[in-house]
Formats: sequence, structure tokens, C-alpha cells
Amino acid sequence: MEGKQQDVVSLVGSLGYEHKITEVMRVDIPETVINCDNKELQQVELPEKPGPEAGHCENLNGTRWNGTADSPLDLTIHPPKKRKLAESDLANYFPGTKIKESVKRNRPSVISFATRKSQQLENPSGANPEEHFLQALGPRVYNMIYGNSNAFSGTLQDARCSLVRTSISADGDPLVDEHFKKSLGEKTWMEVQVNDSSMFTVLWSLYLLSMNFTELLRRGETISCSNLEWARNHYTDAIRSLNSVRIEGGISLVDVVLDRADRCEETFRGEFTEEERYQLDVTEDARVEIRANNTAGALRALESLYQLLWPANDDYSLYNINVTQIVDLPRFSHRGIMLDSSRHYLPEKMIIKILTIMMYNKFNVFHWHVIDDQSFPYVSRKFPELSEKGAYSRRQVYTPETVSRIIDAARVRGIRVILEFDTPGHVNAIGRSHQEILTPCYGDGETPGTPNPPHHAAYENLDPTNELSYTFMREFFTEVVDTVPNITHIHLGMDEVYAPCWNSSPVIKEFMKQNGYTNLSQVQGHYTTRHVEMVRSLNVTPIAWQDPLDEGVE
Amino acid sequence: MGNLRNPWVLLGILSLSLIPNLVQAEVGSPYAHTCRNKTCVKVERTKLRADETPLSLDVCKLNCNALGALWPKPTGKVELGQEFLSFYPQNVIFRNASAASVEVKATLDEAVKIFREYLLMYHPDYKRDGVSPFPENKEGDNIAQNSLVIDIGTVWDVKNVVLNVDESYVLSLESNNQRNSVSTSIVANTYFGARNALETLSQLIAYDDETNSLKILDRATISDGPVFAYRGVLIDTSRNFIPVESLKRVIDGLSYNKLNMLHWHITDTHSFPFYSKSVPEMTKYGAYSSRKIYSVEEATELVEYARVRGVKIVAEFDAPAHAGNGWEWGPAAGKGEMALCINKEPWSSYCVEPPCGQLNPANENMYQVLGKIYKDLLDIFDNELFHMGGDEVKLDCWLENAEITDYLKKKGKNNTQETLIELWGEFQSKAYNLVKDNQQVKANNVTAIMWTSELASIEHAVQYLPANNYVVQIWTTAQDPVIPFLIKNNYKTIFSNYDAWYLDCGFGAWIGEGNNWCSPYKGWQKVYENSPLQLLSPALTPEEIDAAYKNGQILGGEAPLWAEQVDELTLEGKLFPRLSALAERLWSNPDTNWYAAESRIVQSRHRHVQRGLRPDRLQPEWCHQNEELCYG
Repeated sequence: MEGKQQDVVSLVGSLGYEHKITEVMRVDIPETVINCDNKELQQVELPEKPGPEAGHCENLNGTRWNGTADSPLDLTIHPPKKRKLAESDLANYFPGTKIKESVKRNRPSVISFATRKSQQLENPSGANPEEHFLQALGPRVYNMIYGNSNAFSGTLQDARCSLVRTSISADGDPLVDEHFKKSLGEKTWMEVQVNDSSMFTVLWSLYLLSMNFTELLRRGETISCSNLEWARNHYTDAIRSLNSVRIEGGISLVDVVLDRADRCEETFRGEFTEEERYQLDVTEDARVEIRANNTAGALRALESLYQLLWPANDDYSLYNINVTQIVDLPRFSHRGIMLDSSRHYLPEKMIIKILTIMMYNKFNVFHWHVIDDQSFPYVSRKFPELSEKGAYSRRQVYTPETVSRIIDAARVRGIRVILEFDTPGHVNAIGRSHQEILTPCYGDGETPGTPNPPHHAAYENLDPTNELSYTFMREFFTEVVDTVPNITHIHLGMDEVYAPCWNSSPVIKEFMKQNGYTNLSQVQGHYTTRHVEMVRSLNVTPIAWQDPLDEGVE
Repeated sequence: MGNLRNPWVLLGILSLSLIPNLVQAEVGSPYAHTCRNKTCVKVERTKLRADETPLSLDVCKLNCNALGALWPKPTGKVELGQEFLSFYPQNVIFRNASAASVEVKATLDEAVKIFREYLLMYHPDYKRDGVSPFPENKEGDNIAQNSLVIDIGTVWDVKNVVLNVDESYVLSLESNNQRNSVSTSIVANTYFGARNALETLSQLIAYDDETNSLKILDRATISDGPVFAYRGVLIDTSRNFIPVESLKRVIDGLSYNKLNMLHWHITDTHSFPFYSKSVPEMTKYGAYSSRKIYSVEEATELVEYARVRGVKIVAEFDAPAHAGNGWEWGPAAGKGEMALCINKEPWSSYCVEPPCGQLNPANENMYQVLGKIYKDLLDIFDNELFHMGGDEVKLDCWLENAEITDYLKKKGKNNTQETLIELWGEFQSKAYNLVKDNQQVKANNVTAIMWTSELASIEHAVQYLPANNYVVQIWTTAQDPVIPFLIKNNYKTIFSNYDAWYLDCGFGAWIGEGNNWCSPYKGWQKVYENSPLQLLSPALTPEEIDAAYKNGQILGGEAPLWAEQVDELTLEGKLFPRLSALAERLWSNPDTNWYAAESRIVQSRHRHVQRGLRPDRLQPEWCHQNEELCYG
């Protein structure tokens, strides 16, 4: 391998605090080297390095590794510590020979075949592949990968640092046989799992092997994790579409091993940045390991992995990947995009496309401004007239099934959906079927339901004095909570509640008098508070635009 | 032609199983549109008056006001009938189509095919597969009894779009006594007039979701022809490569708007995607990649694609500036530096935007190569108009160069700004002769187009760019004093003043921060109101302006979309619907302002979407459905 130092390749998403590339796999890398601007690194968070003392573990290749009592794989037990970057840190975290050492020191050398790679690569021509493999790895390791399953037993200490065998196929999957036969003679591979009850590990291995992509896809089929299933297919296809001719040696997405399969099905809450933390290693022997605490982290890692592939030649028939280590987590837990499907209807297909693009940029919140003055495309089964009269047409609606599909599409992209039903303003489209809950304005000063252009229309804003408004909204939100999968938040809107209509109404004046209110902000506050309580009672967290706070609503 | 009925019936049967039952749902809407006070209003069906029939929005728009859904507005008589005939596209019959030659007849057949597909595209369930989603003809279905019969007569044997070609037509529609057929007569001198008439005819037809059929006006008379001869757009494929398929879609869009010129700024300093068969080094060195090249076949096919759609492709080979990457192979091939300052830094000293590059007028080899490139271009593209660029020469690139200094010294001149202008003039004159030498048909007098520049300035234009040889394209602002100067000195002009017609303005900067250089964005309203005739006053008197127009000096206009921030993904939204606004200005030169055109352009934009383009959206859909309630 003719290695060359390179600093940084482009990553679209957030780089939490560490990104190192120590070596390049191939000779022909571009001349341009983008240097890290040290100024930007002044406030980065650095993980505390695990101490050198404590227990020791045996690696697969028989070498011994000094680790802490806790598994070094558990990234959560070494919380990032914010401090200024010191000179010595720069030396450690940016290129130079020292870095390579520091990488090795920091990294749990769970997979250490690299050190014996030369031996493995020596495949006598015509040798029986299985035998060769056996020789290369030794009988113990061979059995762990390819042979019999050994149930783990031992002390807790052993549990934390031992490598429990995992088989890609304990029963001698014919695909694995096929794979061995094809791959041996060029490179060997294996894939292992660290078993540790305190953490969830996804070990997603990707190898540069003499495999073509068809096999890769077939291998991928052994993975089963519904939160990751879609992404696996997506990125496999994406890599394949990059690879219009071939990827040298083939890239192999081999397996995902889940320590706790139940985490797989957990809904991504997006409450803590830790949920999206991941570590991505591309090792010298062309293996990719992804470790994450949560499937959302694994998704972010896959995106980074995809961005690390770079075309090695002019006709894009060959791709390379650099030896890389990335430890990443987002700075903010809420990173979102709002789409407005009222001013214009957005077809399901387009929304899903945008969700995919969001995933590329590691966004995790889709704020869906479903309805507004212009149209009401959301189909309520309880109040079907809302969309019948409020949608642009019968074709331009979101049925509960559409909404579920969109939320599901978001889930597999590590994105949660916050639905917004904006009230008490922006409700013209509701008024088309439920004028009775809008505030009648007194445009001529006497008659309810008269406009005063350009100050206000005949009816505007949900009527805060009308108990019907609250019962209607409560019923509506109850349906939303009952039908929308995984709903945790509802956005209540509450923005741009314009005063002229409410000001024109003697009913509002009377309402203020009764409640001892002296200004309209208090009326808005009344409305807001009741909605916040209403939504909370449905076990959902309310969100609102800043307006009520601007208006002094508490 | 009568046999065409049968295949459509067949297709109808095939498509039956594919159609979702959405149409029925649509009929169930509580709302419908109806025409009140020349406005399509959305009302609840239960509130329709006894004399009002529920209409779909598209049908209502066909004749609710004097201009219906026509875009650009016709310049002659427009009479639109008040009733409709429902029909299916399989019952459209082209009865007679007369043409002066076999070639014109073949082109006419192409136009008919395109027209027929428009009709299918109006159906919301059409999948762009040629399969009609309309009901097949069945006994008992009254609509299946109705037909649209079309006669087309063209007179002259004109095959190509040339400047001032007759694009006019007369279109008349009449219903028969049984009221089950509308016959359409199209009369035009040229194929291009007939094609325009078919475009207009397609704008008198809309899909009606009430009956799941098409509706056409029962009666209409339209006579029409353009005010300006040159109505175009500039597409730049050097800053970013744009695939041929996207260029075809742009040409489609031009044809919807009766725009007739596609100015193809095919090369620049950034990349050289035009494959020159005599100098393949140009693309080898200059293309962004081996995939980002226009082959001779592709370019030739595009010229034909455009011609069928009434569009001429005017190729530009920008020189001596805006030429760099692609020219760097000279020294290795023993031809010396054919271009100077290629990718030189700091760029701001040697060019107007990175990367730099300017042809080397002191190198004879450069002229030889240039001549070959011209020949290859002229073999494929138009021989009537050829754009030679000539903009934004940065003399400082030449000023510092020893080769140039020596060259001037041999002529007994010092290297100064003024002698460099002379050198530029010398380059231009040699280049012009190369174009003349290489045109296909020597008898034709190729006309060169040049951008406004230091050479086309008040000081230098008459000396270096004789008005007989050059048309000047104005890209500077409407206030540029060179404009009245050019008119007074008998130059023919094309208007592209950037303060109204540069479609790339108004986005984030592509170098540095803030917004790009010609911000703000030019809204369609601004594009619409930029009148080449009006902006000549007060510098010229109304009489002078009128004389200049009649003299053919104001050829028309063109909206450039420079591609620093454009590729095939953003192209259509930046072009459309603003090109529609440009089209109406140049075709109709209306006296009215944008406000009078607003509801029509929104409907026209909707038609672009139906035909598969991706134009930018101007307003919420609500404003389309409630035009009377959306105003500033």
C-alpha cells in the first residue's frame, strides 16, 4: 500500500468533534489538500481518552489488549468534555505519524486482523480455501466465524472485553461458502461482535473484497432490523449507482450484528444528541466498522460512509475509500425543516424525496405545516368536511394512510415528524366547512360576520369565546393522536393572530370584561393555555411559534 | 390520416384497466367554477345560478375573458365563442394538410404528432407513454359521437427558421349544424405559422373533469403574427454542462410560448463541451469529463428537434475572451500558447470571473484552429446568424504578455491600452473573415452577432464593427448611452439588458458572499414590462423609434440564463414562467401592464406543468382557483 497523508474530505453533515483520516488506500489521490483551519477547532469537544490501566482482553488474533474495566466500545461512558484545544491536542488529532499511533491507542482493537494481513493474503494457488482460511486464522478463530456456536460463559470482566463469536452463518450458509471461495486468495475477512450488556453495538462491516455487488446485496439480506432495513437497501443502491462499472475489488456490506435486537425497533425520539452518536472506522484492511448507540446513529454513519467514497478515475468506474476514523454526534438535537403543504399541495412522493435529502444532510425533524388559510389537505375521518371543502381538490389530500406512510418513511431515515395544525389564525380553510367556530367580525360595527377590507374579513381566527372551538379542536386532536403513529408532539401554530377582527367584536369585549382581561394578548393567552392543557391531557407535548411569548402570554 | 382513429380506439381499450377511479371522486367536489364578470369564480355547486353550468377551472378559463387562456396574446383579431364541444382525442381528424414540398409535409406531420400528445397530456392520469387515458368510443356515449376536424394549409416551401420568416397565421373554428363537430381551418404562409396556429389551437382546448373529456370552443377566429422577429433565450453550457435531454425540454418550453431563438453559449473559459471533429483536442482537454460533451450527432439532432418546434439554434463561439480551458494543448503540440492567462491568478487581474483565459492574437496557429472550430460549428448550426461573443475582454491579460509585446513591437507599436484595442479589432476582423470563409453556403451572407463591449462602444464600434456586418446584442442596462448611439448609426440590435432580462440574477453569490452581482431577482412582472421600444425614449424621439423598428433595427430580445448557478436540475424553474413573460413582450408588445396578464400567465404556467415542464410557481394554488381574491 502506498499511503499518503490527507487531511479532510468533505462531509456535509455535522462533524461533532473528531474526524481523522490517517491514510489513503490508493496512490492516485488528488493533489489538492484542504487544510483544516485551526481557528475553527478552538471550541471542539474532545472525548476523554480511556485510561491505559485496568483489565486486559484477548483479541482474536491472540494479542492482548489493555483496556479499561468498562468496554471502550461504549462511547457513552466517556462523555465529551468541552475544553480548548491545546497544542498537544492538535498534534494528536491532526495528521502526522503520531496520529496514527494515537488512533491505535484510542481505538479498541477489537478487530486486529490488519496486523496479520500479510499472512492472510498469502494464498497458495490452488489451495483449498477453507484450509487456507484455517491456517491463516488459526482453528479457534475459524470456528468462531465459520464453525460452531459457543455460548458465552465467564466473568463480567470477560464479558466486557471478550469477543464472543458471531457467525454470519452458523449453519454454513451456502452464500457464505460461496463468498469464501471467491474472496479468499485476495483478502480474508471476518466480522465480529462485542457483547456488552451495557450498550448497544451495531457493527456494520464493509469490506473491499473481490466480490461483485450482486453478492453484496445477497449478503445484505441476512440483516434484519426494521429501522435499518430501508437505509441498508438505499445506501447499497446508492453505492451501486455510483459504481456504473465496478468498484475495485467490490465493496461488501456484510452484516449488522445487534446485541439487543429490541433497540432496533425503538422509535427515534430525537431528545438527546447522544442518540445519533456514531463511530465510523475504515481500517487499513478495507473494513468498515460502524458503532452506534442507536439506529439513528447507524443511519448517520452510513451517510458519512457514503460521502467518503470518491471516484478514482475519470469515468467514475472505480471508487476508493480512505482509511478513516470519524467520531461524530450532532451539536443540537433538533435539526429540522418545515414544509408548508397548504399554500401548495405537495405530493407524497415529493415529501418523501425531501425526507431523503434531509437524511443526506443529517436532519432529524420534519415539521409539517399541514394546513393554513389557503387549503386544508388533511383528511379527518371525524370531520371529513374539513378537507372536502378545504382542500384544493379531491386529489390534493393526505389521508390517514398517506400520513402514516410519510411518518414511516421519515422513521427509516432517522427523522421524526411534527405535525402542525395552526390555530387560532390561519384558519380560513377550516372556516369553509366550520364557520361556526370562527370569530364573527363586526366590519360595520353592528352586524356579526361583516368584513372591513383591508383590515379584516367577515370571519377570522377561531373564536376564543366560543366553547365549541375548544370541543371541536379537542375532538380533532384526539383523532390525530389516535391515528398518527408514534406521535409525541403537536405543533399548535399560534402565530400571527391579527387583532382587527377581535377588536371589532363586542362579544370579545364582553368576554374580556368577564375574565378581567385588559388587552387582546390575554385573550390569546387564554386560547393558548387551554390548547396547551388540552394537548398535554392527550399525552402529547405541545409546540407553538414564538408569537404567544412575544405577546407576553405566559 | 382518417385511419388514425383506429389506433386510438385500441389504445383506449388498453388503458382502461390502468385508470384509477379518481375522476369520479373529482366530480364529487362540492365546488365548481363558473364565469362571472369575466372572472372564473369558485362557488359551491348548490349556489350556482340556474343559468350557470359547473365547469372545471381549465375549461372556464378558455373563454371567460376576451383573451381566454391564450399566451402570448395574439396581435390580430381574437373572437372566442361562448359554448363548448366535448370530444375525445381519438376523434380529432386532420382532414387536409397541404404543403409546398414533401419536406414541409413531413415536418407538418411531426407537428401534428406533437399536438396530439398535448391533448393526452391535458388528462391528469396521462403517464407520458402514448396511451390515452380518455374513455374509448362506445355506443351510447354522446361525447364519442363528437369530433374535431382540422384542415391546414401552408403556402411557401420554407424549411428553416430565418430572421423575419413569416410566422403569422389565421385560425378559425366553427361548429356544424348538428353541433357534434368543430371544424378548424389553419391558414399560414409557412410551416412556422401553421405550427404557431396548432399551439394556439391547443390553448383553446382543456380537460374537463366534469365529463372526463376534452372541451373546445365551438367558435373562434384568431389572426396573429409577432411584433419582433428575434425572440429568444440564452443557454450557457460551459459554466455547467446541461444534457441534451434538458435542452430539448427547454426547446419544448420555447415552442409553447412561440419563442423562436435558442442562443447557445456553448463554450466559455470554464469548459469546452462542443465536440469539434477537426480539433478533438478541444473537448479532450476542455470538457468537464468525457461524458460532458455534445457530439456532432447530438448537436445535429438538436438543431432538427428545434426546427420542428419553430426554433432556430444560434451558436455562439465567444472570443477572444471567455476562452480558456480546452486551449491549453498548444505548447505540447508545438503550436505555442494559443490562449493566454488560462486559469491565471489572481483572477481579478486578468478576467471578470474565474477562471481566466483569452485567445492569443499573436499566434497564427490559434487562427488556424479557430477557423476549423468555426467550420465545425457552421456545418452543424445556423448559417444565417452566428454569435461571435466579443464581450468582457480584459486587456491586462495581453498587457503583461511578452509574446504580445513582441508582436506589437514588430509592427512598430508599444504595448498600451489603445494599441491593445487595435489588436482586439485586428483579431475581430480576422475572426470575422474566418467565419465568412467557412460558412457552408457562400452565397448566404452570414450575419455576425456581437455583445456590447469596449469594441462595440461609442468610441470604437464604427471603426471595428461595421453595421453591415454585425448585429449588436445589448446586455448592459437600459440606460446605457450606447443604445441610442447604435440605433442612430444603423446597427441592428437585440435587447438583453441585464437590469430586466438576466434570469440568473438574484441568488446567493457563487464567489464570495452576499447575493450575486446583478441582484435582485427579476420577477416576471419586470421581465414583462421591459419594452425595447419604450426604453429607447427619451434618448430617441417617437419618430426615430418608429423608424428604427420599421427599418428592422430592433430585431427583438433575448433573456440570458448564464449557468454559473444552473444545471439541468434548476434550469426549468429559472427559465419558466419568466420566459412566458418575455414571450408576450416580444410577440405581442402589449400596451397593458403585467397586472392585466396575471391570471393568464398563471393559467399558462399551469399548462406548462401539464405538458411536463417544471416551471417556478408564482402564487399559491388558491390564487389560481380564486383569481379575483388575490391582488396586491
